[in-house]
Amino acid sequence: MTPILSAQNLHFVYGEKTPYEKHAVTDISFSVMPGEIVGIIGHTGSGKSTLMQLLNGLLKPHSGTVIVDGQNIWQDPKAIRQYRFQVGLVFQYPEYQLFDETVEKDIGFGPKNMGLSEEEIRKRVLRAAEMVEFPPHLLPKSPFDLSGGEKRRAAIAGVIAMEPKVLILDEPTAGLDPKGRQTILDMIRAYNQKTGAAVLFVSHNMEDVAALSQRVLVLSRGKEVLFGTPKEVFSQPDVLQQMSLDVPIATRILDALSQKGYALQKGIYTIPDAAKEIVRFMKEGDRHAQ
Amino acid sequence: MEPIIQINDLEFSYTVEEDATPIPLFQGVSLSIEKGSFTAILGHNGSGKSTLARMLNGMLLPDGGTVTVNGMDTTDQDSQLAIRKTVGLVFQNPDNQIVSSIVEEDVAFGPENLGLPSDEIRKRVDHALQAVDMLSYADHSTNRLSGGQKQRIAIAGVLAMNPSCLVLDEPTAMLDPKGRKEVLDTVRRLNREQGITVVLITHYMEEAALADRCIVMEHGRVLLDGTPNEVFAHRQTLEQTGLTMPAACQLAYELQDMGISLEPFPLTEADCIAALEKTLSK
Repeated sequence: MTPILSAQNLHFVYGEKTPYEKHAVTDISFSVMPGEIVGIIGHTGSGKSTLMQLLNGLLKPHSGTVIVDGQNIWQDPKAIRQYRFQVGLVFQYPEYQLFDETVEKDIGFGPKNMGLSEEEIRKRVLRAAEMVEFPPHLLPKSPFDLSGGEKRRAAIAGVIAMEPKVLILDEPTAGLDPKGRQTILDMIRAYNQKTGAAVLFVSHNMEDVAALSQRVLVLSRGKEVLFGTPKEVFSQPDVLQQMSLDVPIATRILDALSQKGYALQKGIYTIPDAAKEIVRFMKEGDRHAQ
Repeated sequence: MEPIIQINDLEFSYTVEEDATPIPLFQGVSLSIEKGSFTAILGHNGSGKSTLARMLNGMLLPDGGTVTVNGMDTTDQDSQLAIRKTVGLVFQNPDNQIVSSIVEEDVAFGPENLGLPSDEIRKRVDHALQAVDMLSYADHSTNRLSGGQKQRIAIAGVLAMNPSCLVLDEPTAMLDPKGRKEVLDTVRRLNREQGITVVLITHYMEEAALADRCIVMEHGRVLLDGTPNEVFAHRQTLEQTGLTMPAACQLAYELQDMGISLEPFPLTEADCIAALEKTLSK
């Protein structure tokens, strides 16, 4: 299978040749397969947001290439706009970017810019609204009359309506209550399963990353530190903690016990699996094996 | 212990659009907050948490019932300044709470408005910055701070008013894990070392587990009220309201379902590790 999105030796510098020069992204290479969900973690300033903007052509790399569906997106700089439709980017707190008179127009803004027919736009708006479980009777309302959770879903629908091959979300659950968070996570998973689009999402919440991702990309100071399955990544808590990143609490608890001499398996990152591992250990009774 | 805030039969309705019928939120809520206590308020969006926070220093006034701060009624115009000096509010978005371009000027904004002499302002600003561990940033620009630092500056701005109670409305919701820890550590220290009463509104169950008392709100009512231990024992009620449990609790419940009971029942990660160690070493 060929990757839907791949980054090859990406390099990006802010304020080049000024005293504020900052190497935000240094030699990052990774590939995302069609239909894959990839979680991106890294502390503030690790280059996550810069990377996301490189992936859909909002920023142009100083060197290296971004390939979407087999095409180098900067081959013809004049054609860069189409890649912004193919790689949909949902910024942090996207609800602050709602602007149109009605929710329907707001969601339809992307498709309209793509030059689609009125009829197609309408179809896509309804489809996107359904995908994010946005109540259709609220579509004629002003986006400013919606609740926080509704606004966030409307904003995500605006990107989904362009039907991108890759959907990138920057901290999609930030600031939401547990119920709102769960709704957004379920929605991302459903969107991925229904459309087969690849999803990349940035999160500070390791529980969310553990629950949703097939692979996890870990960034630190603009560099790629780890890229692998959640099991592979979370079985290296020392590396993560060195970068002052959290590991899921289930992993932390089992690790603490391992360090006290209980031979528990590494790389467990969900609560149910942790419980099963503890029960297994108690039954088999191989205590103090380490 | 005597209460610093006393709420009796609070009633409040809000209006979404002009001329629309008001929607009732609180219909007879009574609560009291003890001096020096650390209370966490939980509840999903729309449960009335933030409205309640704004009632505590008279930013919003009750339609019925009373809210009193140190015996002063929030509807009494003459007490308004004294009430706002007693109860300080900190909000969610750090960027919305900074008013100056220099850290110490921002913190000085409150005391300046009180018309205090400048040496007293200086003293209070230094004190407040010290309390949130930001004194070395006094002459820094506010726009280059991290979210956690900005939020600590916002807290310092409130502390410079010498409040006896801090009400924080989801102060960590927009922060990364590091910022969240900085703010939470600061708040806990202020409570323990300076005896400041804290009311913390949060979505993070791990934060709530550290409080002396947890109040769970739903549809403008108090659903659960007790120590974290008491509140998190109501597994089903919490799940029904769409709130999750602290991860340590979740693990303990999961194990309980599989026939293993942890003693004492853990709320925090450290307690959970200790309890598991005890169970495993048997």
